[in-house]
Amino acid sequence: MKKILITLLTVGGIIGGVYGFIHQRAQSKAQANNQHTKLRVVTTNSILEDMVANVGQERVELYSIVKRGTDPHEYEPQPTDISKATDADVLFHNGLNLETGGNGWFKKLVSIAHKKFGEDVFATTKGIKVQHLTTNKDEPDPHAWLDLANGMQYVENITAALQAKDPKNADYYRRNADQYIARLEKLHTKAQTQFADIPEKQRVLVTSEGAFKYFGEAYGVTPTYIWEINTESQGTPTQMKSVLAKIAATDVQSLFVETSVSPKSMAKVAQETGLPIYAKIFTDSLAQKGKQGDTYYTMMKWNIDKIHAGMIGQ
Amino acid sequence: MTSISAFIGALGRYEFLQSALLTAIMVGIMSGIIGSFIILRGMSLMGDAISHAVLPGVAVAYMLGINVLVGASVFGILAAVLIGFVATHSKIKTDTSIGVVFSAFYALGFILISMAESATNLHHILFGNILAVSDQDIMTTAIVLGIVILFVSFFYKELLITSFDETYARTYGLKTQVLHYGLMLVLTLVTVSALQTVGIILVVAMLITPAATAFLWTNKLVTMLFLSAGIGAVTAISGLYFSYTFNWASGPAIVLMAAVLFAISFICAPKQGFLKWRSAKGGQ
Repeated sequence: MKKILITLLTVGGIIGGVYGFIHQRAQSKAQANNQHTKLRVVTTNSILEDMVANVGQERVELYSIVKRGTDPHEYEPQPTDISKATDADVLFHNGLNLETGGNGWFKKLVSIAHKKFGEDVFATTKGIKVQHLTTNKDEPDPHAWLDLANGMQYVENITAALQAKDPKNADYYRRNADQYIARLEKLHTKAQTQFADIPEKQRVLVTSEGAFKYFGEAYGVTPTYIWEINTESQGTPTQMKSVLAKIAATDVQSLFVETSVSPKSMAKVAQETGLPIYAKIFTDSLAQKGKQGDTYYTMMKWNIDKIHAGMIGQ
Repeated sequence: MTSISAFIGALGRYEFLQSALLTAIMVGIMSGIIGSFIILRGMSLMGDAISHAVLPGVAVAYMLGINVLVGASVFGILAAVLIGFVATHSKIKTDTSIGVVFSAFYALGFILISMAESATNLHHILFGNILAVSDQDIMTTAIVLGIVILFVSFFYKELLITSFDETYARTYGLKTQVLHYGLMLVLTLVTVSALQTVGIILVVAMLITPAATAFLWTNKLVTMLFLSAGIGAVTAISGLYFSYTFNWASGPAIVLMAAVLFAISFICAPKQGFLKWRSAKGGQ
């Protein structure tokens, strides 16, 4: 009898204790201390990280969650990611289902870190003309940054959010943003006319993933791909047949493969068609620091130059 | 040493770390207790089987809009019953029966998930992240821990006898079948709540490794239960500490700590450890 009583008391104590702990914690919501001098910014991937770095420079403290060379579609946050997100003043994500599709890791991260979308979490794609997947019309294509005009809109969104969170540095952010946008603008205008010297039947970009819709529309290139998004089954017989048929109907000179995708399927296409794989181009992630293509600007320049040269077929 | 104080400081600051630690300790204790009975009864792989077999339950719960835990538990029990039924009503042994039933349930789960058309991928429920437990998850874990303690202390004598000598228990007049399914029900609850903390692959480790470690040190059931629960808790704390300090994935860090404790015990344990075993053999 005594034993039963002790057991019941223990169990009651455990459950009551946990319940009490959770409730007391929820009520005494101790706000994060704001004695930090620099604005703390967290981005989901390296491309956004580089954009924020250009606008905020040494006046922001930056942390990027998905490491360079890793696929941002599916990710499991590690302890450092969550503690950085909890401490952050502002978080940037691409939006358009890049981080919130699949396992929805970013949504979970935001709720654990007690942040709110629209208050301290911002999508950099706000105000962008969204393109949709051809296989699923309801799903937006997230790869908007591959059009430099969209990239400039990203920078505008980032600047607006930084200015709102850190008003005393507002002018500083604006100045940096203007300089940065001017550089991107120059590259963009050049790229718009760059592809005009190639005959249309030759102006076809063959990649593994269909990430180049925005790029294609901006620079007058027809994107062709083996599969549409990285999370689908990749390189199935139907997909192979369809890409080979498309290649046969045009004057494609060379093929491309992305840095964050296994080159296996594209090697197969190269074997079937006898076309060379001209270069590795960037989509979801920048190159490792210190390598060619480690900033948004150099990544886009690399892509444009390589794609142009490959299409001519030198 | 500085990293330990950094860890304690972070515990005061970050809610996610508090939740993770609390949940990990509770999961460590309850899987240590239930795990002891599981390994004594030679059903180590039952936890693995049940953790896979709950998948269709997750899909059905999503389609009906009910609590995932309820759906998962129903299918977990169903699998346990079916495994027992096939094994007792044919010449097939339990391990084979486990293989047949859990793979079938797992396959059914995949098909149901593709029919459920959820926006977020339901498979991810199987790969839970302890850093992402909600307040509701913590409460559920606390209640399951309570059920485990109540079950074991109320049926301690019966569990003791059936675990060591089932034939004797049956002739003694104990309802061994009822007890077996009761244990399976509790095992399912433990498995499902551990799924969302350490994930499907590591559930088995939490059930087996701390209990196996405790078994190396003692022959007394009651000592083994307390030791196993303690090891589970220590594993949870140290695993989370390493995870936070070196930015490792938390589930694997906890399991690795459990394995380290086992390895130490395997070599050093005075009763059944490797050294003792060797010297006993050499002495003959």
